[in-house]
Amino acid sequence: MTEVAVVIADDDESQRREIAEFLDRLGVTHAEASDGGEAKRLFQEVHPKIVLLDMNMPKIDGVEAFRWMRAQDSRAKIILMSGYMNRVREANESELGAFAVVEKPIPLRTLGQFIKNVLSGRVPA
Amino acid sequence: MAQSDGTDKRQESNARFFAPFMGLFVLFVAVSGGLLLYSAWLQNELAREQAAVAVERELEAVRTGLSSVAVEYSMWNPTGLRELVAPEPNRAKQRLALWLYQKHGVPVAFVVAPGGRVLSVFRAGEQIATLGAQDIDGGLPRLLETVGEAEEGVAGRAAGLLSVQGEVHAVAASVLNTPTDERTPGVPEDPFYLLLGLPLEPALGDELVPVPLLSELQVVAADAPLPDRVSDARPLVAPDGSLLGRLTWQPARPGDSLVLTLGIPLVVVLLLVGAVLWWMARRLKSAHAVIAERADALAKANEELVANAGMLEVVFDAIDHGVSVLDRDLRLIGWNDNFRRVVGYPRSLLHSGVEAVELLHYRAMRGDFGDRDPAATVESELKRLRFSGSYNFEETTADGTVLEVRQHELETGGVVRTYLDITERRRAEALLQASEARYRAVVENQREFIVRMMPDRTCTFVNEAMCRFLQRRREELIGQRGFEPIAPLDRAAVEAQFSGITPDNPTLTIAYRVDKADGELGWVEWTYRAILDENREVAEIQGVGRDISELRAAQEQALHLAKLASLGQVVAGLAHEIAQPLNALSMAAENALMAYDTDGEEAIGYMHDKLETVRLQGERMAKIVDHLRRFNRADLPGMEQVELAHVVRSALMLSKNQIALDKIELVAEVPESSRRIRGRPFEIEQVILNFITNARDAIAEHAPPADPDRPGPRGQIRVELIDRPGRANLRIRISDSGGGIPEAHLSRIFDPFFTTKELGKGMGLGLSICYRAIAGMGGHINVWNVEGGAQFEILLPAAEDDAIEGVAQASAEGASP
Repeated sequence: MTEVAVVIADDDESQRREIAEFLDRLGVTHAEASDGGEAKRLFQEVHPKIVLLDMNMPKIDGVEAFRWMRAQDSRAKIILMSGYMNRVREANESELGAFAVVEKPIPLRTLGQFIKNVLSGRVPA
Repeated sequence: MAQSDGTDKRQESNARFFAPFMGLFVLFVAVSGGLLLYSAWLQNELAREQAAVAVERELEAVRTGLSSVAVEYSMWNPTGLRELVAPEPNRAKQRLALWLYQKHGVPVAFVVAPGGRVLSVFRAGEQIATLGAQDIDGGLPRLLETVGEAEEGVAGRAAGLLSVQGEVHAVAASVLNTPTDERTPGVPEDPFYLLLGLPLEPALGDELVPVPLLSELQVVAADAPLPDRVSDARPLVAPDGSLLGRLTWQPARPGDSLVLTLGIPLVVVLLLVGAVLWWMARRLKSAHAVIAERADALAKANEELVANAGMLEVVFDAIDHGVSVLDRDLRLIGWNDNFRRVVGYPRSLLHSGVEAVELLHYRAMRGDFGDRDPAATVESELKRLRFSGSYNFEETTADGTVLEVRQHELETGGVVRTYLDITERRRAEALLQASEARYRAVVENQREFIVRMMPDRTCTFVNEAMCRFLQRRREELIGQRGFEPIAPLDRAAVEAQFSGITPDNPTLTIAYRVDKADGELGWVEWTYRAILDENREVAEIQGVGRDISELRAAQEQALHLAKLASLGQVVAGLAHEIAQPLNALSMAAENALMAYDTDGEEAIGYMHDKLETVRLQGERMAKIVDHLRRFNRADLPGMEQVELAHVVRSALMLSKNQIALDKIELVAEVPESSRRIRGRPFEIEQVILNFITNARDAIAEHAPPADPDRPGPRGQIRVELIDRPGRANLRIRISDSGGGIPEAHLSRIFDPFFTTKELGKGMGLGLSICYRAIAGMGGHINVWNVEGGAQFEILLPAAEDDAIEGVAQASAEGASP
């Protein structure tokens, strides 16, 4: 099994593809999930260093997948992505305690810098 | 067989019937015929006796005549006598012969010498040759002997019958007293005799035959047979007792002519009598037949009468009416039990023959006829009973019972009265009248419209309120087909709805616009109900309607507000929908920029790809925005033909994100394509969205709040589109797991302004507006509870296949100018 650094979980295929292309450019290995359930499966199988998790997905949404992942690994580095930032921030501050939250549309270069830092260990877990 | 028996019997009875008449007739004939014959016989006998007597008398007369002639001559002068006895003819003899023949008509005379020797014979006045004594047969000596004997005191004469030359003669002999001088006196000498003869047959015939006593007088020889037709005979005996012959004659028969003269009239009379008897018999017979027939009929009628009487008695007792029968003297002769009960007589009062006066008196005393003087009342009631003819009237008894009395005059002079207790009927009628008056007031004064019309929508009734509303006079509406001025916009839809009223689907609730006389549009909501006749055909349609113009305005306002609210939700959904391509677009642009930064000109191909992505995502957004614009213009009146699957899918697209945010699973079972319907697609979309929103609210209320420890959705909303070929309707089913709707609310859920939500919360489209919107497209909404929640079903009729494209295109153009 090849090492996968980042799991991208987003139900919108075109956004997922843009992020994937961007990560390819950075040379970061990645895997894609189109809903929360798939994200959970990948999280368990590949143990990614970082999870990019869209909050709003069908079946099992991002918040639920986040809670599950946190329950599996309290140190998991999960970056929440959402268009509804106010709601996500509120939730994150009160209970979620995510590693980071990113507002859509994602500023790719900022996100790339952040991922590089995390992977190289410059950002403390 | 029976018939011939009958005929035989009739013939037999005929014979028996006619026998006495025949007997009578025969008796009559016998008696009258017998009497006639008897009297004829008697007459004949009498005539016969008379004839016999006449014959005897005539014989006697001849004899006497001859005797007297002989005696007369005996006193002849003695000289003449001397000459007479001389043997030669002389003058004396001549004179005698003439005298005898011419004076006395005696044709034959003999002078007989003593000893019986004939001296002279005279015939017809002439002396003829001597005739021998032998020519005189039988008994001349005996006759002459008797001359000598005294006869009746006179001697010298005798009479008798002698046959002279074979012919019977009546003869008389007398002694010729010649002078005795030559003889010795005292010594009688044998005397000479004069014998006179008269042929018997002509002598008698001359006298007897001319008188109609007898006929065919004839002397026949003793040994000759009697002539055939002679009925009487007398023996002619000579003096010496020898039979000379017989005198025969035919006596007159007056009886025979009597029979002839009386017989013919008698026969005529008998025939007449017979005819009369026959006629009478016939008359009697026919009368008898008629009587027998009548007797038969009478017997039959009597039988029927007995049966009828029995039946009548039963009917009499069974009918509801009290019945009394009075005879011409106004005495009670018949009544039934109901009569006693209905009028309220004591049992003891009613007996056959009781006078009407008594009955009336009883009732007057009871107070049935008011407070008037009982005697006067009875008098006036009696007058009424005597009033001829048939008529009805009503009476009220003392206890308030209302009686309907029918009086009928009988042909026999009596009266039949029937009494019917109509208290209840009168009371009901009074109540009905009161309620009718009330009903009329309600109908006329209320604000509800009431209309009655024929199945072809010809108006038969409109109430005042309707007239006021339409600002038209009632006469303008009654009898009119399509009397209601339905606004042209709604007319086709209303017509279609009306044609859907059938015996199986008799009610229709419908709202539409009408043109009022002042040019304003008014909204009316009608509930029509078909009245079925006995054949289960629609006989009439009744409608109750109301003016909902103001309500409609308020509803339109509410609809507008609700639309704004739902627009808010739609906008939220749309924001998400737009954000997705926007995000992708944004990242694609950034990727392109980064590629240029690192690779420069070499990245031109990649950048081209990215720009294509940007364009596609931009188009995606434009579509969504366009949809939003059209959604906002959903109140456009135009109906178009659309594929229902598209409509359902676009509704789902707008709502799925919102539902996902609330952690509710949205399960859609919508086929790739479906049949078309005719309607307003955005209205349908709004209705679907409304049901989905309601379902979401119900789940949010019903399910516990999101719990991080409990993964999985909080509830499920299921949207199905069912399009079965061959079914008239397409169905959209929206079910939720929100716990369902209380049964009490199910029937009211489509009422306007019915809500279970708190004020200000959940400004979804009211269900009544949803219902109206779908009904406006010819559809229908059902609601029921399924396991765990509620299910709404939207029924929309499939559009006809023809001219789909044209209509759809035209509508699409008209919808977005």
